[in-house]
Amino acid sequence: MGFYDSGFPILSVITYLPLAGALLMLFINKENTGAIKTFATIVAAVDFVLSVPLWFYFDRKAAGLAMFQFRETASWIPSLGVKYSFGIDGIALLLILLTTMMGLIAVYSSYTAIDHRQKEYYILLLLLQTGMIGVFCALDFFLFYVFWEVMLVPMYFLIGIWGGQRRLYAAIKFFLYTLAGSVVMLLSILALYFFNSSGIPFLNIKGLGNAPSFDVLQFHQIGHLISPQLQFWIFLGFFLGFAIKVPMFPFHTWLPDAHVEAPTAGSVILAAVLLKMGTYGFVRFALPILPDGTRQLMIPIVTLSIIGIIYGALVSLVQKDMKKLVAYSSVSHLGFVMLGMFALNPMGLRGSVLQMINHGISTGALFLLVGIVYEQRHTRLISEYGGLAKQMPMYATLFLIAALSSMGLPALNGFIGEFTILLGVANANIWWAVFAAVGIVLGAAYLLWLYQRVFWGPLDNPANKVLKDVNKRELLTLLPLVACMIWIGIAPAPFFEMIEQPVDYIVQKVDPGYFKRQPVTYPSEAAERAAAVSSALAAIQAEVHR
Amino acid sequence: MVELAVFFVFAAVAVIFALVVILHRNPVVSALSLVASFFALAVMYVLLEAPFLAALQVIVYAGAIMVLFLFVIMLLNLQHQREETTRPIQQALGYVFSAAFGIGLIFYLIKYAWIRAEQTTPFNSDARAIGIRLFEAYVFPFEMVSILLLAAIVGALLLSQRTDLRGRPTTGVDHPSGQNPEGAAASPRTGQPSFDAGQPSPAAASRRADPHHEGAK
Amino acid sequence: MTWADTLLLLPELIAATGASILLIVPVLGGRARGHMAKWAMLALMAVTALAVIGSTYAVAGVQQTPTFRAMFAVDAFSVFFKLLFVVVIALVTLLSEDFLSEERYSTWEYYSLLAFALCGMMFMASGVSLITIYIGLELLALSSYILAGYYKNHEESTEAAMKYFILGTVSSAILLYGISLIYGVCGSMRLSTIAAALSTMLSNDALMFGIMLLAAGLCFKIAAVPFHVWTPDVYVGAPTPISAFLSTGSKAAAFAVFARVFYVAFPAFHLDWSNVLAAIAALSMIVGNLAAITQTNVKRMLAYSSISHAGYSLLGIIAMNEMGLRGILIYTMVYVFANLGIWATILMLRRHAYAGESVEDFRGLHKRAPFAAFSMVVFLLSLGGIPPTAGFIGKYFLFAAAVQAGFGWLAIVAVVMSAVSMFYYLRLVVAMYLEEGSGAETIYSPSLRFVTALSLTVTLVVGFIPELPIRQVIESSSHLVGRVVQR
Repeated sequence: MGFYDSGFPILSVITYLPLAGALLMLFINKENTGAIKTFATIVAAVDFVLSVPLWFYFDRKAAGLAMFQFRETASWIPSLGVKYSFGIDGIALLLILLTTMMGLIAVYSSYTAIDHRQKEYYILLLLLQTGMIGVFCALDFFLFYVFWEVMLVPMYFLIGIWGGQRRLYAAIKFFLYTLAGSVVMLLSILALYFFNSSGIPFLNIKGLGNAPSFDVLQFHQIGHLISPQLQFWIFLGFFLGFAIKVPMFPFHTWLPDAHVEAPTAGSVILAAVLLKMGTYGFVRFALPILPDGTRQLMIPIVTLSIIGIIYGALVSLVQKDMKKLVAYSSVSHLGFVMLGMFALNPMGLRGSVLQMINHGISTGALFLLVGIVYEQRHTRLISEYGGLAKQMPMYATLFLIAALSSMGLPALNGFIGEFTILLGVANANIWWAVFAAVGIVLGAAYLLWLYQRVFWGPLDNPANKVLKDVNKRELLTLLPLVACMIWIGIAPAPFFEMIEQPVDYIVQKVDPGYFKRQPVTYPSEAAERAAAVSSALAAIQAEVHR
Repeated sequence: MVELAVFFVFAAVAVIFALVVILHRNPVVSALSLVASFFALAVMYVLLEAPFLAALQVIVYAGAIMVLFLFVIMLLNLQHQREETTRPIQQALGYVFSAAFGIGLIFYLIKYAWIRAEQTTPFNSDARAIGIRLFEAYVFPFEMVSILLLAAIVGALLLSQRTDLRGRPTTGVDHPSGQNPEGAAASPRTGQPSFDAGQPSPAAASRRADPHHEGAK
Repeated sequence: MTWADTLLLLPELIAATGASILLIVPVLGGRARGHMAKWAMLALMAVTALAVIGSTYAVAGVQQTPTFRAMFAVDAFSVFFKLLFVVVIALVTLLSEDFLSEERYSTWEYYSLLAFALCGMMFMASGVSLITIYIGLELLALSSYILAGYYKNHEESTEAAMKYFILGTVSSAILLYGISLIYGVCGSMRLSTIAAALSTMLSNDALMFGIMLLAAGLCFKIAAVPFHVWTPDVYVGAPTPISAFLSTGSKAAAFAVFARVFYVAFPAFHLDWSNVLAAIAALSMIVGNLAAITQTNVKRMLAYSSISHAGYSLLGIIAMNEMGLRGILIYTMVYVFANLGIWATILMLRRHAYAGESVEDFRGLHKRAPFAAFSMVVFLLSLGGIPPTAGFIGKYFLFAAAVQAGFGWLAIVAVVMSAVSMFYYLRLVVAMYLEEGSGAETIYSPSLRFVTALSLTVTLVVGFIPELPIRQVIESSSHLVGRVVQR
């Protein structure tokens, strides 16, 4: 395993392995679906296996710029100053692990759900994975932008070809929304680029005269030199690009459509990874590069986040379609992530980052679970179901765990994330925390109500009497997720340890005086406290459910 | 002062006859008006102390080209046809926008046309001087124009041919499949009466059976 | 004038001579061998390309070689465009093969006119005096009018040619009027002399008027709003290969002129004309893209999309900086290849003269012609500016130029509109991949396949390895940018 610490381009290998697999798959006969599925699964599995050692070889203590590890740099377009630059910090590492894991699960879970044009399907799924991992690895803005846009195309096809009734509408909406945001982001990137190099003489913006470069880490160093007004506009561009992807409240309308129409694996990837691109964009680029812009727009963004939390939860309450309900719950949960992030203190950011992972796991699991009954019944209407707990006990159990994790019950991952976010937010402004807490209550309400309607009550719909419980393959896709929920729920310390340095780095950038004003709080301490609370509450919870 | 008066009179003449060219429905009248307009332009050249150019203008345009035009018109024996306005709104919009453009143009001309003449060397415009300039300084563009004219001749031949160069008639019904051949026979919108479309010879009719069907098979 | 000067003219001379020979062949008995015309034309293109490359060696080390009393220059800029033109004409030749064999029109004259058009385009690229530029432009325009009306007996084609001819002549007259005003003020038609004269003036209304008229004439050629009305009708009516030519080669030539004239002659008045051109660019992008959304005819859609692309390219002129000029060069190249690829697919779908027109014709194409469908997606993404296709690199340069020049609002319009444009490009993708059904049948000849493959290669290579083309573009444009006056 000397690969991981000897300058071997491991990140590139992880990124391009799915692409290579997709290209090789072109040579498999499209009638031979068995081989296609097996091959795709092997590729995704190898990718996952390759990414796991990153966790062990990553130096968690490295601070400052050194925390970006597994660096790879090569020249790509020297005349523009574009470099092929890869490197990850703890945040990106967690997201990459999430991506490779979800990628494998998505491939594996599609065996029976996809019944036509399988070859194209798996090729696109693998292409998508390359794009997603590339986004998390890229440390060059140009490269980042390329991966960011590359992701759009496979996802567009995944929704458009294998989606539900209104798939064309959903696919185009998804594509255009995201594209509109990202092209505006491109302008912000350009503004940064010119600020770093030649300046914009027409607007009397003097450049720093550096060599033209898209190096993200260099922008981290020079961002605070930009005048506040300009920072405001650049931040606005980034905000549009990322907020649409997150999606934040007024820009969220593409999400329910895309989720509802996408095939199960598409929804899983969308919820687990694609939405994280937006939040990742904020923590990696917008916040550290544009501290003034961040602070100027803090209040509006926090407001939108709170609206998103409550609005998403309320809309979820009234949904008749299971998938749509989970989709709107994503709006609510990502509101939490954004709120924690814009508390702009270490605690909030830590919770925010962890919640990104949690949301990926929990919501991904929920989408998988909805997909399992959808595949058998071809309906997702809640009213069509009822009493499933008797028919499918295993399924009911797994669904319960996922739902509880999503609503933030102690001993499961959601609680740790939301609790940490609330701590951080309360530190910034107690009223924000109050609103956020309302969101949590509503979250519990819609998920429990969903659970009640689907699983309790009489099993009176005859169509449901023939439903089969989860099979071995489905169980295999769900168990890792459940394991992660429990792991993060009871022992989050390694995760917090992983993101400690990056978060401190960001806070230092956004608010240089923060650590002088506040005594440094040790994250593991808070996490342990949270874990203690959660294990205590676990007992109560078990009592309640009995 | 006299010069200015002459200028305005003949400028008006040139513009009015130019308008008649495009507005009158009888092609012969249009052609004759063009001659008149060219004569007025020739006067301008005289005013600019370029008598040679004025003479060329009269000889080449008014003399040669216009006579050719008239011949063609007589030979073709064109009847003018009234064209139905298909989309009145578009036509109205067209008038409005061209009027606006015209007014704008005139406004700018009036505003900017008063360029103070700068003292330059006297304009030497006798035939010899022009010839020397043309074949020394401007020999390159002059030769380029010859290529241009060659292309123009090729184009004129191609467009005016009644049979294609393989010896088969191309006039008449040659329309994308799926459309009514009768609709194409007398093409009213181009204003060209089709001479041989009405009574095609049986042989020609069989030859020009829509070729596109072959392509579709 | 010496023999060395004539050598510099070699490409143009070869094109003109070749055009004449193509005219003579049928008289000498080549009439029956219509299929030979294609090969003769391709050979002519090959020789012309060699001559262009040869002429670069003749001027190696020299920045710009103005000859014939500074009316004609062989420089890296002109060589770049000339090579592009030769390739475009060669590809259009390949595209025309089916059309010519199916229709009953004479092939030799057709190719001859294409060669004349090429000659005109090369004069445009090399012209450093307004008069040479004008005559080159007229040569191109005249050949285009005739080619657009090549379906003599189709009403649409004749109408297209008439419309193109009348509007084109009016625009030429406007252009000429502009040139005469500029000549009147500056006393010269040489671009460098004009630039020198301009740099001593503070402002001059007559000159501004001349510049505006010149810009209006050129905007007609590139089909920018409000001089765009001819575009949809002509693209639909003209024979499809000619539409392909008009939307690529003809536009590229006009952009070569636009770039050279404005970058060399008028930088001193940049502040005065840039806002007008900015309005034209914004209008072109907005009107072109919004109108394209409502079209169901693919050719019409492409026409409107080409109007919007004229708007994007204008950003490079307006910006008046290094980035902008490079952007024009690279975007022109990128746009040309993506467009030619799309036209090749449309030609493939022709059932008869006017097929490949409606979006429905593309239904389920991925089953019938997977390679064509895939290439089409790449071309459409390239036109939409989605990485990693070449279109992104092109748009990157133009947007960056606009941002750098301080035209932030224009850049915002441009990016938003390029997102909007994906809406109608995706309609074709939807038809090809997401809708089942049998649209038009396909006749995928080797020529069309070759054009598609070449365009695809260029589009992907420029997208993935942009360094090489960018370097080339920098080399080809640096000597013009040196003149940019910073005010």
